[in-house]
Amino acid sequence: MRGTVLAILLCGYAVFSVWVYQEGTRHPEASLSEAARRGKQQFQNANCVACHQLFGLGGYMGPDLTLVTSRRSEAEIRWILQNGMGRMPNPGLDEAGSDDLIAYLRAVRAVSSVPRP
Amino acid sequence: MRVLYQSFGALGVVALWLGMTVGLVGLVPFVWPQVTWIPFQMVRPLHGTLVMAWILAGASATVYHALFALVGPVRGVTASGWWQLGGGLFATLGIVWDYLHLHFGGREYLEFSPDWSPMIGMVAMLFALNVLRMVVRLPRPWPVYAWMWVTGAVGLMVAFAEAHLWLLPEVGGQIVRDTTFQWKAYGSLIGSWNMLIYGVQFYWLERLSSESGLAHSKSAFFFFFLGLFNLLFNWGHHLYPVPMASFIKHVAYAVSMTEWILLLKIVGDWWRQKGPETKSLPFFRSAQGWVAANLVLAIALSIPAVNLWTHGTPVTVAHAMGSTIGINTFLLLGALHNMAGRSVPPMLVGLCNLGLAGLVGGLLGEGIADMAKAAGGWGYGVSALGGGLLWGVVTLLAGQGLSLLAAVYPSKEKAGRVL
Repeated sequence: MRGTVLAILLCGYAVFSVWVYQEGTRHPEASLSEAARRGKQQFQNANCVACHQLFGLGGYMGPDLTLVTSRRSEAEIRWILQNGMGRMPNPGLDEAGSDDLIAYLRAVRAVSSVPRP
Repeated sequence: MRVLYQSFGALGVVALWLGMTVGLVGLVPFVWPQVTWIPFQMVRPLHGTLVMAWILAGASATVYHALFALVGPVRGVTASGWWQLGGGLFATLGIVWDYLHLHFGGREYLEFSPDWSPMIGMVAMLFALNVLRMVVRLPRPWPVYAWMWVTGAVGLMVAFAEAHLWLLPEVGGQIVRDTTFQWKAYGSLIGSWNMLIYGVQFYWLERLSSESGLAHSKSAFFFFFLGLFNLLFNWGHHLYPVPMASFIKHVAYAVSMTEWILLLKIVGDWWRQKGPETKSLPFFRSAQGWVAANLVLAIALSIPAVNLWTHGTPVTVAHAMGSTIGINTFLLLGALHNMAGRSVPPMLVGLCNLGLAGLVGGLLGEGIADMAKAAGGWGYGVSALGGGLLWGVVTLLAGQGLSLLAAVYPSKEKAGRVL
């Protein structure tokens, strides 16, 4: 009986996981461009998630960045990424790195605002 | 084998103390925002990695101890256990070294470079194999804690692997899929180590109580399967703001509400003064209280209308601290003391509870003020005081040798006696 319950749970988990992968996370705007992928790598290399959040997930030292490209101009964001600000250390990004990270943040913003069909 | 699990226990306590120390350092810029020189992007992952090392080492120590007591030595398990310990220690030290040099992988909670992941995966596999090799020697039917250890150990391995799906372009290159699978894996990862630790608690409660058949009862298995159900399916409440299919969010809400069953059982047992005796086990008793408190908070946070306000605020951190310290850490500390046959002065456990109440209460207060756009940092101050008290007690327990570090290397007259 216990083995049967375990098997049912595990099979259900496998089926649900496949469905989540195929259908549950399908989104027209969610695929990243090459620049955005490089930007995501920059985001991870600098461990931005320690202080910032995306979709409310992350640290609380700094603001949530999901909609930051709506709140600040590209020039402002680029300046911060190349100089730091307040408690935020200088991430040390060059122009290309800044462009890529901004592309990533724009992609996040686009996903958050497009309702899922 | 005894030296093996004692070593896991001792290293775990060192990791706990270091993790708590780093955690207090991390609170400083919240309490005094003018302090800008503390590299929080390094401090946060240091804290997270060290406390995870404590939980995994502590769980290894307590599970190995219990299984060794139940089945005796098993050929090859001790050697493989040493490889597990060596691999885990090497990976932890390497990750700490990386963090100190600002080298990150940048995934929340697993902020280390994925270059370390094969070694950690191997460590997880060795542990799972060892647990399986020992559990199969138990007489049938297996007690519930054996089921918990097997599912916990295997679950750790599977969830850790799932947490690396982002390395595949089809996952990592798609924001919604990446975020969803990340937190799906994390939910199962935490549920898996919870299973290991709850199994240890069950083992000790059966050993020390007068209730025969506690670990074979229908009630015990009902709650094991409820816990497993939550381990597998209760991860979506982390992801309400993420634009995934609404069906996932509905499933998340429904699964989260099954925690009511657990909460009502705990309250009902307390009301009827039922359940195994825990008076002699002050840390276990405290953990029961924190289970109830954290269930109330978890259920509240899982309600979408509440989550809308609390998501992204220190209320989430309060839940994480309350669970990781009040449940996991208290249960492991209790088990380590039991292993060495030493009791903890109730006053020290009381101070631990007071400290944790301050830490969690301060974070809750700061979170509520944050929601009301009235955050002023006072909540962090309370958290710092509470956290400091907790750190002080753990330092006392570890440093004086009254319990943990000395307890895991007991005096000679106890050396031959496995509790």
